[in-house]
Amino acid sequence: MPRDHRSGSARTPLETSLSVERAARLVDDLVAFLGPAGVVADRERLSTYESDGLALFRQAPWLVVLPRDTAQASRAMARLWADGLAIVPRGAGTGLSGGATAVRGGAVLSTARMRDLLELDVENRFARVQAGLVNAHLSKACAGHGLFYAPDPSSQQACTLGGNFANNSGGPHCFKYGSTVRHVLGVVAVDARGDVLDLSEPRLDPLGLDLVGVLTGSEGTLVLATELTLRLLPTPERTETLLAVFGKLGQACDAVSDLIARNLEPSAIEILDRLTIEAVEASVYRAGYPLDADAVMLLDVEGSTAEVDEIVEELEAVLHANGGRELRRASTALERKRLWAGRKGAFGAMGRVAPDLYVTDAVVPRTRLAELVAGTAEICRELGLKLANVFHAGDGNLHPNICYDGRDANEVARVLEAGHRIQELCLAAGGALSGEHGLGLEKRDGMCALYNQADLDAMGKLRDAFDPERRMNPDKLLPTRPCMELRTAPPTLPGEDRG
Amino acid sequence: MKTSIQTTERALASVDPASRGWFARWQGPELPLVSPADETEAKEFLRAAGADGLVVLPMGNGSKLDWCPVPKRVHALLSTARMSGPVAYEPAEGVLTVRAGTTVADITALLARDDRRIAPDVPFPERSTVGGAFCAGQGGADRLRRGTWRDSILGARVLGADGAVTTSGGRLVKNVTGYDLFRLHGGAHGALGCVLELSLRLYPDPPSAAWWERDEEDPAGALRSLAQLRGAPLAPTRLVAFGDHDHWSAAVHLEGRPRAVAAALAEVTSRIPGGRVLRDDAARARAHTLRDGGLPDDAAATSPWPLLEVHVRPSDTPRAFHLLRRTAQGLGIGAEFVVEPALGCIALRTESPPGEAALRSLHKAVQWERFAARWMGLPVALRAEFAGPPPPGAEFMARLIDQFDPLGRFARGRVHPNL
Ligand SMILES: Cc1cc2nc3c(=O)[nH]c(=O)nc-3n(C[C@H](O)[C@H](O)[C@H](O)COP(=O)(O)OP(=O)(O)OC[C@H]3O[C@@H](n4cnc5c(N)ncnc54)[C@H](O)[C@@H]3O)c2cc1C
Repeated sequence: MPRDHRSGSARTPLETSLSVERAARLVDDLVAFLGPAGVVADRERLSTYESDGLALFRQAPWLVVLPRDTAQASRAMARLWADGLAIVPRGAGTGLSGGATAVRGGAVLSTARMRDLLELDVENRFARVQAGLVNAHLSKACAGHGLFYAPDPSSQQACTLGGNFANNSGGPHCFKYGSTVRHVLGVVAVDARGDVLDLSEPRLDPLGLDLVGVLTGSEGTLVLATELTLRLLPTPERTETLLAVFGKLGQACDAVSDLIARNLEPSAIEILDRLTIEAVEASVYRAGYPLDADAVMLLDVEGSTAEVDEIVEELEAVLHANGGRELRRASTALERKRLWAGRKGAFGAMGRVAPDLYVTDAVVPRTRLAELVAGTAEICRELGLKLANVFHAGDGNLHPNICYDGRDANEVARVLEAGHRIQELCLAAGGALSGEHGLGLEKRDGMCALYNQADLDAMGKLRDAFDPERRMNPDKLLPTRPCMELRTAPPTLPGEDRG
Repeated sequence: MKTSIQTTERALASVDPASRGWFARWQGPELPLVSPADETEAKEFLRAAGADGLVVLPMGNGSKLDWCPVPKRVHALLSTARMSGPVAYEPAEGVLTVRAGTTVADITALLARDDRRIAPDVPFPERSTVGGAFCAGQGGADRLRRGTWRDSILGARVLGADGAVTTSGGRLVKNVTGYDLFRLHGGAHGALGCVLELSLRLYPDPPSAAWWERDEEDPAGALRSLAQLRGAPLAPTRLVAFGDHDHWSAAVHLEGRPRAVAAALAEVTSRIPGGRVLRDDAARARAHTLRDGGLPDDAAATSPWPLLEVHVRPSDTPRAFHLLRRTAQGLGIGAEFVVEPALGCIALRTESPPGEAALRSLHKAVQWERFAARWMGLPVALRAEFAGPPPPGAEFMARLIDQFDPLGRFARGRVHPNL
C-alpha cells in the first residue's frame, strides 16, 4: 500500500534522508493510522506543496501528512519525531512570507482534512473549530445567529483559521476589532514530540502565563494548532460603507492620520491607489471606483444607528478638509458588497498588470503614512518597477505590491532590492517588519535590523521551551545565524542560507 | 560585606517609606526592598543579587503581593516604583510607552488632556503601577468594552534573569514582528523577569458618559433586568448586578459620543422601566466607586479582606452566582457581590474578615464546581492551599520558567505553588 504513494524508481528525498527501508516503514506506519488519503509521498503531488503565496522561494517537502483530528496529529508528530524529521504546519498555503514552505524538506503537516466546526455556542458567543476550517466559512456559519468572526483577511475565502492564528492575521476590519490574537479564547495544540496542550476552554483571562497569547503569531514554529476557540461578536445594528475619492494619494494618507488624531473610530480604513483602481476596474471585481482618481479610501462605520450617524458626519468633515473631493455612501447592501469586493479582489486583479506580484508588508507610524508611501514609490521608480498600493491605512499597515515577471532574473533581483530598501525605509521611520503576514522565510533575517542579539536570544528561549531541537518549521521567524555574522555576510536569498 | 547587600542597602536608603504601606497585607517576611532609579541600577542590583545567590521578587507598589502565596525562597523585593514616567507619547499615533512603575492614575492624568485613555480601567489606580497591574493580570471595569491587557499591550522591555534587558513587540498598534514574548509576563507575577517598560494602545476617552442604575428586589431581579438588554445595540462599558444581603441594584455604564450615549440610554430605559440616571462626571464617579469595590481605601489596605473572582461561561452566571451566594450564606459569610453576566464574572468580597474554616468550605464548593477561580487578599496560611489545581498547560509553563530563569533568580510559586 505505502509504495503506491511513491512514483518512479528514483529515490525520493525522504528515502535519501532516512534510508529506503526506514522511509518505507515511516510511510507504512503513518498510512496505518491516517489511511492512504492521509499521506502524500509521491514527487508529483509533493510539488504542489513547494511554496505558499510567496512563490519566490520554493522547496518541496519529502512527505505531506494530513491528519483528521488532534489525536491523529499527535500520533503523526510523535512518529515523525522518532525519525528526526522537521515538521512544517500548513493551512491553505496563502501565506505571503514563505512560512509554509518546507525549506529544509521534512514533512508538511497539513490541516486540509481538519475543517470541522466543532461547536457554535451562540449564547456564549464563541466557536470551537478545527484549525483547517476556512475563515469565511466560520462567519457564514454564524451569520444566521446575528454573530460574526471579526478578523477578515482579504484571503478569507481560502485561508484557514489555523493559518490566521499562526500569523496573527489581520484584515480591513481589524482596525476596530484588532488582529486575530484579540479573538482567540483558547487553543488545542500539539508540540513537535506529539504532546498535546489543551487550552480549549474559552477564557478572557489566562490562568497563569498567557500561553494562548504567545502562541498566536508564532508562525508554526512552536506548535501545530489543531483546534481553536474563537470569540464571536454581535453583528452591528448598522454598517455604513463610504468611498472617498482623492486627487492625490498623499492627501488620502494625510486624511487617515487626521482621522486617528481626532479619535474618530470607523471600523475599517483602506486605501487603494491609481494602479490598483485601474486593475480592479478592468477585472471581474469591478467596483465602480472612479478611474480618474489618484486614490480612493474605503471606510466602514459600524455601531448603533445614532453612533454611525454621528461618526459619519464627523468623518465627512475631516475627509473634505483633507482634499476628499467626493464622498459616496453605499445605499444598498449590494452596493456595499460591490465596493468591498473590489478591495478584497485587488490582489487577484493585479494579475492583469504583470504575471507575478510581490506583496510586501510593513507597518509604520500612522502619523507618517504620506511620507512613507511616497518613499516606497520613489524606491520603485528608481528601480524601474511598477508599484501598486492597497493597504490597511488605519493601522499604518502598508502593502506596496510590486508587479514583475518572474522569468526575468534581472527584474526579480530588482524586486528583492526594492523589498529590502522599503523595509529599511520603514524601520528608519520607527516601523516594523510585518503588520500581518509574518516573517516566515522572507523577513527572518530582517529581525537583526529591529532587535539586538539579546532580544533574539530571549525569543530563542521561548522556542527552546517548546521545541529544543527546533524541528517545528525550522529556519523561520528567527535568524539562523548570529546578527553579527549576518551583518558582515554577503547578502543571500532567505532559503539559500541553510544556517 | 557582599556587594549585593551593599547595593541593597544603598537602594533601601532611597526608598520612599510611603511605598511600604501596603505590605501589612502581604504577611510575608520582612525583606529589603530595592527601588532602583533606572534600568542601569536595576541591572546592577540583579547582577549583584545573583552573584550572592539571592532570590528576587519583582513588584510595583506591592498592592497585589497578597494575591499569591508567599514564595518559599525570596530574599529581596525589587520595586519598579521609582522607574516611572512616560518614555514616548504620541497622542496622534495612539500609543504610549511608559516606565512600568508609573501609576495608572498618573497615566490617566497625562492622557486626559488629549482625550485619550488606557485600558483596562483597574481598581485603585492611584496605588497600582501599570507594570504591576499587567503582571498580576488584573481585570478592569471596562472589560466588556475594551477587553483585557492582551488587547492593550503592544510591547515591553524586561529585565531577565540573565541580567539582560530585552525588548519584544514595539510601539505600533499593529505588529507581528517576532514572538510576542511580552504577552507571557501578563499574569506571570514576575516569574519570568521584571517588566521595566510597556507600550500601550490608547483608546479615545469618550466625551459623554451615562450611568443607569435601578434598585432591585433581589439579585434574581437584578439579573433579570440585565437579561432584558440582551441583543440591544448598546456597546456598554459595563453591565453589572451588585449588592449584599438587603440591597441589590442593576446598572449599565455607557460611554461614547453624546448622541450615541443618549440613544443607548433611551434603549435601556425603554426596555427596563424605572431606574435613575447619572450623566458625565457623576456617571464616571459612580462607575469608579463600583470599580474600586465600594470599600474605603484604607479598609481594603490593612488587614486580609478576601476577594474571590469566579469566571464561568456567561450563560452559567446565574447558576454559579446563586450557588456561591447560598454557600456563603450557609457559612455565615457576609458578602458583597459584583456580577457581570455578559462576561461570566462574579466577584465576591467578604464584608468582614471571615474565619478560616468558613473560607475553606467556600473554597471547597468552588473547587467542587470546577469554577475557574482566583482568590485575592487571603490570609497567608490559606493562599497556597487555595491555589487550586495547576492551570491547564502548567507543564509548558514550568518549561518556560526553567528556560527563562534556569537558576531561579526570580521568586517562584506565585503563579501557582507548583510553578
Ligand atoms: C490574496 C491574498 C490576500 C491576503 N490578505 C491578507 C490580509 O488581508 N491580512 C492578512 O493578515 N493576511 C493576508 N494574506 C496572507 C495569508 O492569507 C494569511 O497569512 C493567512 O492567515 C494564511 O493562512 P493559510 O491557511 O493560508 O496559512 P499557510 O499559508 O498555510 O501558513 C501560514 C503560516 O502558518 C503556519 N500554520 C498554518 N496552519 C497552522 C496551524 N494549524 N498551526 C500552526 N501553524 C500553522 C504555517 O507554518 C505558516 O508559517 C493574504 C494572502 C493572499 C494570497
